[in-house]
Amino acid sequence: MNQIISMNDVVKTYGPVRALDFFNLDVNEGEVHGFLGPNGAGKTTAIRILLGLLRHDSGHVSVFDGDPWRDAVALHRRMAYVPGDVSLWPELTGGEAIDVLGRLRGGLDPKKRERLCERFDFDPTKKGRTYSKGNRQKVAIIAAMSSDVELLIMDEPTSGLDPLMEVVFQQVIREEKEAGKTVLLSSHILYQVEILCERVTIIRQGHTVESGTLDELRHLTRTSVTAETEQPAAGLKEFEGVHDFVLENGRAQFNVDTDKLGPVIGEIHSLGIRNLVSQPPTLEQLFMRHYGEELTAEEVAEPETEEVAV
Amino acid sequence: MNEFKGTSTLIRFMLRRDRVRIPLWIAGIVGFVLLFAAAVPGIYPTEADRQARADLWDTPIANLMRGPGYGLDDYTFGVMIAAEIMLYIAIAAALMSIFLIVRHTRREEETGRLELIRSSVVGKYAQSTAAFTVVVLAHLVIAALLALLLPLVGEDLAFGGSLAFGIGIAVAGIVFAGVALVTAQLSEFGRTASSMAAVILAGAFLIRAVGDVQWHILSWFSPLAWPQEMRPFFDERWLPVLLGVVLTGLLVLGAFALNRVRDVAAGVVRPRPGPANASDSLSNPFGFAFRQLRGSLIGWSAGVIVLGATFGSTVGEISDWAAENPGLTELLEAFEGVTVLESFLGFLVMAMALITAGFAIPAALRARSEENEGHAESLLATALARSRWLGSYLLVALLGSAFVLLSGSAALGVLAAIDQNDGGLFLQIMGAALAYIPAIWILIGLAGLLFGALPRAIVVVWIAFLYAFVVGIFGDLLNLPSWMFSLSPYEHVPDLPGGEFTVLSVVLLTLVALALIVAGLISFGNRDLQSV
Repeated sequence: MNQIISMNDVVKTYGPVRALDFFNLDVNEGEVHGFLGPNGAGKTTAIRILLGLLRHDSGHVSVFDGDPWRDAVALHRRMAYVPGDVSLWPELTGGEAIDVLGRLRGGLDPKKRERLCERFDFDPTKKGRTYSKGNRQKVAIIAAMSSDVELLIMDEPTSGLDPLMEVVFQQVIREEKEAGKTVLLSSHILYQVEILCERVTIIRQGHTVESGTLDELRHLTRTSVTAETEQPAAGLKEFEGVHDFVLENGRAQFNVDTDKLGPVIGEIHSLGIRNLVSQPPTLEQLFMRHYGEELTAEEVAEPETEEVAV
Repeated sequence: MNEFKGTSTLIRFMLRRDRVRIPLWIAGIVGFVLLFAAAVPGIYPTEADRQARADLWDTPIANLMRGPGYGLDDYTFGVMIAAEIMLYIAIAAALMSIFLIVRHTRREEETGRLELIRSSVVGKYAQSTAAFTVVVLAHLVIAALLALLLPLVGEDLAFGGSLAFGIGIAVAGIVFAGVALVTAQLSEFGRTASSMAAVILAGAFLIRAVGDVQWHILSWFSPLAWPQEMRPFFDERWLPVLLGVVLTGLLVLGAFALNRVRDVAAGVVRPRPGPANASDSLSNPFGFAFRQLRGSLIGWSAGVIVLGATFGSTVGEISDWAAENPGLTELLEAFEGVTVLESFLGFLVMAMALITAGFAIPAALRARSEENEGHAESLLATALARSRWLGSYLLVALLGSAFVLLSGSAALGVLAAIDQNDGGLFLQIMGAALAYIPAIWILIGLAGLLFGALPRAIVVVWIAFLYAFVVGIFGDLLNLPSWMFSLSPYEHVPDLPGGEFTVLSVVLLTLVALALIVAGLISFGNRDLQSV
């Protein structure tokens, strides 16, 4: 499989601040790669280096086997970028901005542009000032998707979209993937990454803390289990990999390291299963494991946490 | 009074935000006057020196460019300060008002910050009132400093005259604070609001220019004439203060009325829907830059054409004066080496070349605001090379500034040629304008170089312009040493009309400008794009 993006041990400093600290990122052809990290972790800096807008201090960066700083113009013909905070020209309409961005990239498909405007319910005749944040993002998304490029780089592209538009966005990304395009999707909305991406890279304080397929990463985390058994389940507490064990009214609730799940389920089976609910580890938990130290230990242990306070 | 709630907090907030900016404005304005007051006794030590200066410049040219000149018969230092620089100090005070008012009102709305403020317990008029109060305070500080320091620094400067001088400057400044308060209500964009106020300022300059040369009553309709009509150091009159207070009151009430009827962030003029598709010309970087700067180009060209035509219509006055004062004319012509008319026209072309920088520098610096606002990031993430992107703004600035200066000069030339019945005069004026174009280009080149190499120091280009302006307008008066003249690109332009057109200096200036631009393009290609 071809590597489209490769960043090895990349360092970028702003004066005394190290925005990227031996950062690594590999994106393969045809994949939707999730790029996760809390605010200020260095996601945007990494993306700006990939776009040749910033020059890295050391390490190796290549995009399509080219140097994004030196070959910026040639590479940009093959990729499109959706920034997280789209700033539009107040004197231009949204439609004009889409056209300018698309044509400067080397042309855009007017039919696709029109179809996307419809799907995203976007009015291209309004002036830049009058669009809401979500509508400004639609400009960048439509411009990027209407161009015939091989790589899409998106920096929290849906942070202003409503849930309906979010669904449209997910459909569009899936279609792009089916068309063979590569997508780097930076986000802190975990369920979106979970739905769309097969591989993720997690960045923290400028450093890659985890990278791999979702399955590989899930392996590293815990499954949440609730079991009612015929015989008392107190003994489960002693099993290797079992955490946060609570027994109440004959119902056992605990988390178990996913790679230690087998023996635990075997024991539950031998105790006689009345009811068993097992929830796969969510990306949220994975995420919490890496950023958890900023939260209280109690919150980290809580498997049901839906909102990640990063 | 609920509509004013929060004003005092906002005043403190604005003073905190501008704790460097406002003192710099004050120091700049007061400092220039004090420096001038301290310097003239050395340059014109005897009464005879001063009187020679007064006689030499008691012409319609001086009335046009410097004001009426009260008390020329006894040219004391005080009269000199009021006659020679007061008009320009009043313009500086007016510009300070325009920039500060728009910065704290419309710019705050445009960026969405005012929305946050207005969502708290803050009345509808609090923002405007606070901004106006801050600017009035700044002008009162300037007036107080001038009244107190001029008698100490200068020679023979009475307190009464110094006070009238300071108050006169404050009157002009505060009136234009009112003007800017109104224009900030009209447009959605800070840039447009400042431009509208600047156009009114230019109009005020022209009305008093015609008034001071021909129909004096006209000057009373221009707030820019009021400071000198106070006649500081001659026989102080205070009627202009009353006029200023009444006009400012009307402007502030007008601004409140407009504020009441419109929504937050909206202008009085509603935006209309635009085209859904971009035209072909918009889709290349030059066309894109041109589209953004088109309005400014049209505005400045129109302004300079009106200026040139107004100046051109006074040419008859100059030649009449020369015919009526043969002795003085001979003296002047011996002094300058060219005819009075030629020297007048040459000065006007230089003045228009200085004014053209008002288009050229912001046009070149548009690249900087595009970068700061995050627009450059979107465009440079496409297959657009950095040098083409920056080059487009600089090219629009280069061609646009040539267009602005030539259109103003053409208006001047046509009217001058008709008045003097001399078609050759038109060609001479156009030749003089052509010679000044490379000097403007050097400022554009400097802007390009700073943008590429030292973007944080971009304000240096404005300092360079200010330097060229002071040397060009006050250099002779202040008898500056020749090396100070040679630092200004405008002083390397051949003296036209009347002088000799030296191709070499024009070519050299152009080459320097091009070298600066190339250096700017290269250094921009080697730096990080600054993110929002």
